[in-house]
Amino acid sequence: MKKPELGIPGAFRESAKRFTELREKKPSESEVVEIIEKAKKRKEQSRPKKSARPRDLET
Amino acid sequence: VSRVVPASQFEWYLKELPSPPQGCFVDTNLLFAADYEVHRLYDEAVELGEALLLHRIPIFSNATIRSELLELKRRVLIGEALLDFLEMGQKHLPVRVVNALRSLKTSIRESIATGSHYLLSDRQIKKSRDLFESEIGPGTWKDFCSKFIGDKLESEWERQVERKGINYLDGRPSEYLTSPIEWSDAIRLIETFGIGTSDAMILNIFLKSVFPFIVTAIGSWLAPDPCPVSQGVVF
Repeated sequence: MKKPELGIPGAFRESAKRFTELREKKPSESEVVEIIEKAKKRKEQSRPKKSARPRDLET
Repeated sequence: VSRVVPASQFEWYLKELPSPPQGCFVDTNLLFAADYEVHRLYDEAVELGEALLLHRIPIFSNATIRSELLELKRRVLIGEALLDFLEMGQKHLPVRVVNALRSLKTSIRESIATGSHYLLSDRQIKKSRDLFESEIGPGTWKDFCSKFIGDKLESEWERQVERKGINYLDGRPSEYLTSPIEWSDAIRLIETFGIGTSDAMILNIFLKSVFPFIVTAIGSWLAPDPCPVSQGVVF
């Protein structure tokens, strides 16, 4: 059986610091605007196109 | 007989143990609190964790603890990301999204003002996802996650294992377990004490381990009578 691993003293403080740094990493404002604008475009494109008026379909 | 040892008396407790412990279980709440500086138990958690390492007591964990820790971090990351998304994109966001995110911001502020940290619930996350998809447009949520969360959780557990030396017990026969881990035993704990499934799975493996104590902050385990824990509980 493998001997249990022991951690490195200081690891708990270091881990908290690392998680804080990770939380502080953010995309730029222009990237956020890009996400929104692209999604709006997709929404616009996915809207059903106006169907032909009934009279146009009459033969 | 169980014994609850406050974190402040941990050093004394270790001295009283008849022999040096082969290891101990550390519950999700200690690992999470120690990683999250705004957590109300942050200081205690870091001090306890560091004391374990200084006394060279190996830390053990299982699949439930790993999955719970990642889940808590996901909820923190998404909560904070939603507020950043509002701050950076509010001029471009539909009114309904702005209002929903502002209301979330207020809840977070109120929570911080009362001295506690704020964790978004899974329900709130799903509600935000549905709102993004219907109000902003299809695919928004996926793009939001990819930009704000990215690979932040990917190496999270490996780092915990590598630096804190967390050892993994998966229920297979081991010199650290006194009997096999059975589902039926975990279910019995749920039925007897009304605890949650995840808590029961952690408690079940701890009760079958050779370890004298578990470090946890879960109050329901600490009830003096009846108490499912026969070994020491520290926090």
